[in-house]
Amino acid sequence: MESFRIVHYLNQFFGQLGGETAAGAPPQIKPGAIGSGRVLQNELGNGFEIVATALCGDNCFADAPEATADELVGLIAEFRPQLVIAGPAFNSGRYGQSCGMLCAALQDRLGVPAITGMHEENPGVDQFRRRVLIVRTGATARSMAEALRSLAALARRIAAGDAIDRPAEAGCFPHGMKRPVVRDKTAAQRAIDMLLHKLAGQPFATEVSVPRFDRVAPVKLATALSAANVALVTDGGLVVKGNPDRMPNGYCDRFTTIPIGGLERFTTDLVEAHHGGYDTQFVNQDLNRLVPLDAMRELEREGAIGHLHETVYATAGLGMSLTNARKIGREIGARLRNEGVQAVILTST
Amino acid sequence: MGIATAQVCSMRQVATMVGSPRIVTGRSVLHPVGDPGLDLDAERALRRRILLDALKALGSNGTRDAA
Repeated sequence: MESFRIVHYLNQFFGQLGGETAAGAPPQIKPGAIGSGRVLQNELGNGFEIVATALCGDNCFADAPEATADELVGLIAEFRPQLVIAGPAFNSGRYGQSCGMLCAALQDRLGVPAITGMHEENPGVDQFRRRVLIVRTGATARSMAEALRSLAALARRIAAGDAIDRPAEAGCFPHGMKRPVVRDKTAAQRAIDMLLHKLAGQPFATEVSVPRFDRVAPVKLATALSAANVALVTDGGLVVKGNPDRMPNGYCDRFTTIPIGGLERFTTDLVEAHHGGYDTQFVNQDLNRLVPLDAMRELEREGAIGHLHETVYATAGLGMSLTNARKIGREIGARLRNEGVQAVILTST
Repeated sequence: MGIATAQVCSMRQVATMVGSPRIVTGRSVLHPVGDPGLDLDAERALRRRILLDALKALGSNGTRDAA
């Protein structure tokens, strides 16, 4: 019987092309297993063959992700794999991105299953876990042996025709999909079971996954407050009167800007609050109750802060998904940084 | 280099839960830095006090609530 054909993907470092200096290496493919691929081959055992190893530098991939993935898909297709294993990428950002992207492209274009491995903090996990089976690994290559064992175990299940309906039970990050199932016990009984397990210190698995929030390390103010450029930001739905940017009043995927250059205080002819999540009547009587422009001007004059930034950034924080919240936060942060802001006071409703 | 932040927030448990550093308690969800129940001078004094707390928080290392 012919062996189950596998192509392995590695970056320049694990593929033995070189370190950072080889990070620009273009897509290429070599027959057989290379480096950690040899260990993977051993783990897979008889009946499996790593027929080729595809390689690419992390920077090359990061600079032109779509084109690079396309090129690699073409190279890999020639070896007619039944499965592609990428990485593992551990906690390496660029490598994780490349592995996830390549796996997704292979599945889309060739219909070949493709799996990879990452540490839970690799940004590639959030980006690709819905589409790609990603085995949980440690943070660094020190956990290589364990990671390769997990990948080999998953590869054997896929080769045996297992559809891996529940990625979490196969040591992978869940796809995050829900589907109806019939359970023997009612929800109340299952809840009591869980509680009893919890009280007895025994393991139990929740049926409700709670979103994981970032722990953002506080940034230390780089300059004295009296020299700092301070900006005001709000999630309370402040908009320019008439809402010319057409900001939604909830479930936002964007933010708006309000210029305050030369403005001593907010007046109701200039701005308004547009937010579907709280009663806006009090802030709409006096918008300084939402974004404290008048008081900040006073403190600016007194020298308590160096300078009040001339743009207020605002969004409406109602029913906002974590994904959108992160996106909006990143965008506002990048703008403020480019504009030379060192500190922000965020007022929340 | 990041940006130092302080959040004036009335639902401080929510802010704590989502990992916000430097939380200063606002007056109300409906008017975080004001109070329509106060006369204008008292309201302005309140707003100033909350902001001074927020500025103090900005100068702190952010591992504990400043206010």
